[in-house]
Amino acid sequence: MSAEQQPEPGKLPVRLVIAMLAVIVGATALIVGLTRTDTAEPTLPSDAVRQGGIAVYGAYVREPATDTAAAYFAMTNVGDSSDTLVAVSSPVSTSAMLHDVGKDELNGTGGMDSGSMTPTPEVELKPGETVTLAPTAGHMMLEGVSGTLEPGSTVNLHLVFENAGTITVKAHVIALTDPAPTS
Amino acid sequence: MYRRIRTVAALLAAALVALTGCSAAEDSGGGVADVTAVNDNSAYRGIEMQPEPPRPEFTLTDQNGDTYDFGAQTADTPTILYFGYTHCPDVCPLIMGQVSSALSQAPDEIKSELQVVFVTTDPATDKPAVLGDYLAKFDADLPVKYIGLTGSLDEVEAAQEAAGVPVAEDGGKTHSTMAIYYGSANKSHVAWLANTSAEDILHDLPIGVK
Repeated sequence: MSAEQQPEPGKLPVRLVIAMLAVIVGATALIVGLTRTDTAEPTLPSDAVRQGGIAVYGAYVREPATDTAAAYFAMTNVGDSSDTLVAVSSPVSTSAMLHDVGKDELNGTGGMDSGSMTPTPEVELKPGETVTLAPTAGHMMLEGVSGTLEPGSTVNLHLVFENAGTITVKAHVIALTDPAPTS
Repeated sequence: MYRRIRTVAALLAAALVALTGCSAAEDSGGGVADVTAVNDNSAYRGIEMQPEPPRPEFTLTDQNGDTYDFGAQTADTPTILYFGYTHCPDVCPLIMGQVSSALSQAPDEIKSELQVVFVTTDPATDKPAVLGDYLAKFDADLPVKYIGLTGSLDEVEAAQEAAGVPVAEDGGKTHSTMAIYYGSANKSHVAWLANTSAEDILHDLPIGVK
């Protein structure tokens, strides 16, 4: 560095001043942003079905390659008391059950997921809590699916909650080769 | 600073933990964390295999009821090997569908050559005809039809051991979810977990083809 590029004593280089300003502006934005999200009401997706204190949304079924299919959805307790999902069913299948619901989504943790199928008989939702079923992180297994589930069609899922009662959601059928929808 | 990632040994250690119903309380060993280290320098979006496992040798029965020598019949051919079962609701149709989607978009020279092999972990249910019906759902629009393999329980377990994946349990329902991609030089450079998107598989196909 040559002498003429040295900043004058007592004066900060312009670049440093700009950088400091940027940090201050950024920090201010962060504080404003945090304040805003703290007070924001949670907004539910437009497809949400709300009944009692429970909202269910983002439901879909992957078109099965056999008579066994998997359905996925998200549910949020928007009420002020806990509720529990105690049973699931669908008119398109002879039986239905939840597997691995609440399990962390596979993200490379542990290097390899085991594709395990642990039955989840009940799912408790505390006020404000959301549980999202997603591939490798829980599904509703539909066994004995009758007929074909055409991509683009919908199937009904019945979710029985202790307090909210039976909530029926329409799950969109996606094709075998479709990517998993991101909620 | 980035560490040289993931050895197959670490993968397998991790996988065995998953298979034995790992809980947070269980000591999962130091290797597991290494596996999750993201290697930003990797050319692959899937799991880069270090060291690179060779194409395995095993013989089973294909969907036509014929003997299929995996090592000999896929030799020097880019091959995707996956262990699952047809009544798997979740991870198997997901990864098989994403592989099919990726292949349908792949360059012709890959699409016209690459072989997909599905080995059942539930041979009691997945007889040759069952595998044939299942795979037809996935390869209908592809030039190279998928191969479905079954056999005795001992035989399909030996195939999993040969490929270095943890042996399935619980009637085949708890199984490895890695799709292993072997290149034409008969080594695997990359594998994809069940939640890998078609886009990421498509990205890795030409890079790992040799």
